[in-house]
Amino acid sequence: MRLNCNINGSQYSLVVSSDKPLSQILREQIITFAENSQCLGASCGNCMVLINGNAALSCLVPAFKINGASILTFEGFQKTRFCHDIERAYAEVGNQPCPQCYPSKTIIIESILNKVDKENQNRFSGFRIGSGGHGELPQVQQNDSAANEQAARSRSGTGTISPELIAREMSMSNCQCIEVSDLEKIINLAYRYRSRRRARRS
Amino acid sequence: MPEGLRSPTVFTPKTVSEAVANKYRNLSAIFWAGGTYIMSRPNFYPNPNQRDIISLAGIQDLSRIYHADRYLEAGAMVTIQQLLTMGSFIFSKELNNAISSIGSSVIRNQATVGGSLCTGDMRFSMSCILATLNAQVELRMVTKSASAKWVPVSKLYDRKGNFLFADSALLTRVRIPTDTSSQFQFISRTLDSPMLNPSESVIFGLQYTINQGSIASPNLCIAFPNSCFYMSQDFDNLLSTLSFPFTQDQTVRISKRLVSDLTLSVRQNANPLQIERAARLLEVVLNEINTNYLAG
Repeated sequence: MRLNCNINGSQYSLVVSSDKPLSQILREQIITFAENSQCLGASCGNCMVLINGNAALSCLVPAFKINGASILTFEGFQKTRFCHDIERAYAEVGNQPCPQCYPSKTIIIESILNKVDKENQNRFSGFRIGSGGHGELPQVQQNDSAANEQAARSRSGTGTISPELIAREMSMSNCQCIEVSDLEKIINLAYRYRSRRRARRS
Repeated sequence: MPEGLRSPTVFTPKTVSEAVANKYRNLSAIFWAGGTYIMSRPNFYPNPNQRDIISLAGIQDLSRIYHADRYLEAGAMVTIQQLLTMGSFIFSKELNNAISSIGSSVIRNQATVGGSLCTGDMRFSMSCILATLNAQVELRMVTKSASAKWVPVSKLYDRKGNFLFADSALLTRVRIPTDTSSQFQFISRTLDSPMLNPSESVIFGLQYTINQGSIASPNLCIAFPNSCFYMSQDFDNLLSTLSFPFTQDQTVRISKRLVSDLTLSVRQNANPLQIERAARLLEVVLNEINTNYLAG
């Protein structure tokens, strides 16, 4: 099938098998794609990418689902200022993931930061109502109880991200090279850097 | 594309009837919801015998959530994360934790409620949780008339956990009881990840109420991801004979009965570790219930 998608800011028009996993498409099409998924679909977490801003395992996304999508691999993400915040936090804490899982963990951290950001925006802007029809409940932004707690904590000024949320999100990556307590510090620091920059800009 | 491989045709129906009609015309095609299970199979790609795909993503009816007084009805294409979002307002904390334990948000954003119930040979915790809660699903049969019927989740699987309606029906809706006025309590535990370590993982769910100093209307479900789906009326009746406070002997007697039932049920298929874990989980949960009752 023919599909069009945006990978790391470049527009691609590809002819691929409709069920081909995105991880293989990236490996073949993007020369610099450094992911090293060895699990053959067993969710090792190393092939994490951002699809339309949401973290996803590229080995679990078929070609027919990415038509028109915007895909950001770690190579593309590294060039953004959001990645610099996380790298600054690694340096500040003095610990960082091993080279094997560095890309995947960094992208998971980014997705956690995005999620918490969204949560906070929703909290401050009130309940967001979707375009539900008759008999439908309003569609709210994706969240869960841990993220709710987190949003409440950051609103009340304590501003830390709960270790439970971090441990749950990091369960996707099997590598235990970095402790949850360090990750907690890294995420909180990165979130602080990001908030400061946003405050300066506004 | 490797030589000899053909690109599967992807059908994108807009209504449930259209999807069923597609399947009726092309019985070898597979329904595609989130794709987390299908794509995590080791021989998924490249596979010369790849089947055509009926993608359910374009069917709006399957992405709706409806909340009535006594139940929450979710379309099959509602993601587990969306269910959790609604659940944070409606479900108990225990149930929310059970649903969120299915995986990280990366998986929950992609996996769907319907897909997690219809996986061919492997059970995820969703099926065990919903079976314990006496949830029901609507099945649209793959026939010319596309008739619909409601079936309890517990009737979807055989003893080994195989999905009984794999090619004969489309699961469209799930109805989860949410009657908060009832006194039912729900406990769920998952040991190890069903996705990453299916041969050692155990999923446990128990719903019960307490009436006149004894356990009443218990509903126990134990699943081993790739070898067993255990629900037994006899065992539930045995649990309902327990009166508070339980003695250690009673707890051990019941867990031994569970071990013999599970051994008989799964025969050589299960890992002995899974059976042992299930028995210990039951002991722990019974002790917990006992302690809570005594503490008032």
